Amino acid sequence: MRTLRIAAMGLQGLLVNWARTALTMLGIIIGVGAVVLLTSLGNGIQESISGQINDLGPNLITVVPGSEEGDGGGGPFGAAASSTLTPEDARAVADLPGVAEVSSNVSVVAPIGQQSVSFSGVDPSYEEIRQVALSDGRFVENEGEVVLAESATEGLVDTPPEEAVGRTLEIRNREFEVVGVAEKADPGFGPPVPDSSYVSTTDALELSGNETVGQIVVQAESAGDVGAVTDRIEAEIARAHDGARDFSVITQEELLSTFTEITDQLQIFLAGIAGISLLVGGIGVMNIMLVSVAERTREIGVRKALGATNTDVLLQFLLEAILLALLGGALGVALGVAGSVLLPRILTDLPPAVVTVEEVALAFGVSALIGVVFGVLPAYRSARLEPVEALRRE
Amino acid sequence: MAVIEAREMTKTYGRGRASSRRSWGQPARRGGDWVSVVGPSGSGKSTLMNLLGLLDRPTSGSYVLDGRDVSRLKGGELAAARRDLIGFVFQSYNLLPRQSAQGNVELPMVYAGVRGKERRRRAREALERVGLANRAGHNPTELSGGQKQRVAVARALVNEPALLLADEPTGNLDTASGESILDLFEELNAGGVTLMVVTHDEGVARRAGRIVEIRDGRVFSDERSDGAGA
Ligand SMILES: Nc1ncnc2c1ncn2[C@@H]1O[C@H](COP(=O)(O)OP(=O)(O)O)[C@@H](O)[C@H]1O
Ligand SMILES: [Mg+2]
Repeated sequence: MRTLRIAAMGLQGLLVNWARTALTMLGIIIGVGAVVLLTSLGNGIQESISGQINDLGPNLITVVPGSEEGDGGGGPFGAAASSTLTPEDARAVADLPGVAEVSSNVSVVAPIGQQSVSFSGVDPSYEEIRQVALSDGRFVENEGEVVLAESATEGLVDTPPEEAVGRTLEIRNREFEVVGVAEKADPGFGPPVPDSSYVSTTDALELSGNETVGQIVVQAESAGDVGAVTDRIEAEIARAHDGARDFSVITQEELLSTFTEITDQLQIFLAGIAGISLLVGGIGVMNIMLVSVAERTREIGVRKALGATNTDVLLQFLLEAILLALLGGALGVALGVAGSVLLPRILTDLPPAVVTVEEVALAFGVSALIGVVFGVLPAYRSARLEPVEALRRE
Repeated sequence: MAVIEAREMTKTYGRGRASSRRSWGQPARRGGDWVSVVGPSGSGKSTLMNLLGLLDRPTSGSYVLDGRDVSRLKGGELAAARRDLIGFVFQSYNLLPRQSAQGNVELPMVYAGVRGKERRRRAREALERVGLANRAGHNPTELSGGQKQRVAVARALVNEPALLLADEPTGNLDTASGESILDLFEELNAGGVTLMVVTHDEGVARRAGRIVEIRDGRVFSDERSDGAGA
C-alpha cells in the first residue's frame, strides 16, 4: 500500500511537471522514431533488392551444358545442339530431396507463316520457377498449346494481344492453340529472362528434332537448401552421364551475396544516423534532467525531512523515469512506424519500409535505458545528501 | 519526560566555525514546553535546529530524543525517527509547490504508511486545526505567506511528533500573519505540543516559557520566561 502510494507519486510527478515531461519525452520520441524509421527504410531497400533478385525465380538453380559457363553448350540459353542434358536428367533431378520444381528448357526457332518465331520449350512448372508473368490466359500445360510473348502477337494473330487467347496457329502443319500471353519480361538483375513465347518441352523437341535440352532450371525448397541441392544435382547428373562433367550448376547465391554486401553497408550507414539521433535525444533528456535537478533536490530534501527514506525517493524517481521512457518510447515507435508507412507513399521512389520487431525493441530498450539512467542518476545523487544539504539548494 | 537530551553535541563545518552545545541541564519536556532559541545572526541557531531535527549529523556528541538514542541512527531508522518524532516548520515554508495544501499535509502520512481514507481524514482535521479547512484544495501559489506557514504547521503536526521545531517561522511574514502563527503555536502548546522556536525577534522569543540564548555557537544562557509575550 505504502509502496504503491509512493510509486504513484512518480506518476503524479510527471503530470504536475507536464512541461518538463513533454520536453523530455520529445527527446526520446525523436531518438526512437528516427531509429525505427531509418532502420525500417533500410530493411525495405534491402528486401526490395533481394526481392528483385528472387523475382528471377526464388531459390533458382540452373543446370547448363558444358563444364564451364560459355563452354561448348553456348551458355544458359544457348541452343541445345551440343548439349548432353536430357529430359530424363530433369526427371531424375525432380526426385532429389530438397527440390521443389524442375523444368527443362529447349530453345527452338519455328516458322509460322512468313515469320520465324523463337520458342522456349518448357514444362508447366517453369511458370512457377521463373515467375513468368502472364497478361492473359494461362501457361502451357499440354502439348499443342502455346503461350505467345506480347511482342510476338503482332503479325501472328490479327487481333490485339488481349484477344489472342483461343486463336490457333499452324506450325509445321500442326495446329497449336494460343492459351496465354506472356508479359514483356523486366530484365532486372542477373541472366536476362528472355521475352519469350512458350510451348511444351515435348513439342519443342519434336519441332527442333533434338533429344537434348538447352537448360534445366530447378527451384530448391528453401534458400538454405540451395547448397546441398546443388551438390545432389551435380552428383545425380554426373551419375546419369557416366561420370562426365559435361554440365555446370549455377546458383543465385553469388548474385545475392554481392548485393547483400552493398545493402548491408547501406544499413550500417542508416543505423549510424539513427544512433546519432538517439544520442542527441539522450543528451536532450540528460540536459532537461540535470536542469531540473536543483528544484528536485530541494523537493528531495523536503521529502526526506518529512520521513522519506532514500529508497522511497529513488522508487518515486525510478517510476517516474520508467513511465517517461516507456511513454516516450511507445510514442517514438508509433511515430517511426507511421513514418515508415507514409514516407514511401510520399516519396514513391522508396521501396516500402519493413519494420522489424528486433529493431523496434532495440530502439525502445536503448531509450528506456537512457531515460532511466538520466532520470534516476541525478535523483540518486540528491537522495544521498543530508536533508539539510538538499534543502539548501535553490 | 525529557524530549531532548543532547550532550556535548558539536558540529564543525569544514574549516568554518563550530556550533557546539554543552550538556543541556533542563531539557524540554514532552507535553507542554515551549522553548525559544535566540541569538544574533550566524550564532548557530539553525545549525542547532537542524541537528535536533535530524536533518544534519553532529560531528560529535550524543543525542537522545524522546527516550531514544538517535545519534547513531542510519538510513531507514533515521528517516523513521524524523517521520515519527519530529515536525519541522521552515522559514521559507518548503511546501511542494505543485501539490495542494491537502496533498502537502498528507505527505508525512504517506511515508508513515497511513492508508488513504484515514490519511485524508487526518489531513483535513490538521488543516481544520490551523484554520484552513476551506483551503484544502489550493496550491501553495494560491495561498498567502501566513496561510502557507499554517499548512506547513499542519503538515508538521499530522504525524503527532514528540517535538515541533520551527526555524524563524515568522521571518517571512508580516506582523499580523506572524502574530497569528504565534497564536496558533500558543493554542497547540496549550493542547500539549512541545515547541522549540528559533527567532532573533525578542517579542517572538518572549512568547515561550523558556529562552535559550546562543552566542558564537554555544549555549550562552537558559532562562525561564513568564511566557506573557511582548
Ligand atoms: N553548510 C555550511 N558550511 C559552512 N559553514 C556553515 C554552514 N552552515 C552554517 N555555517 C556557518 O555556521 C555558523 C552558524 O550558522 P547558522 O546556524 O545558520 O546561524 P543562524 O541560524 O544563527 O543565523 C555560521 O557562521 C555559518 O556561516
Ligand atoms: Mg538561521
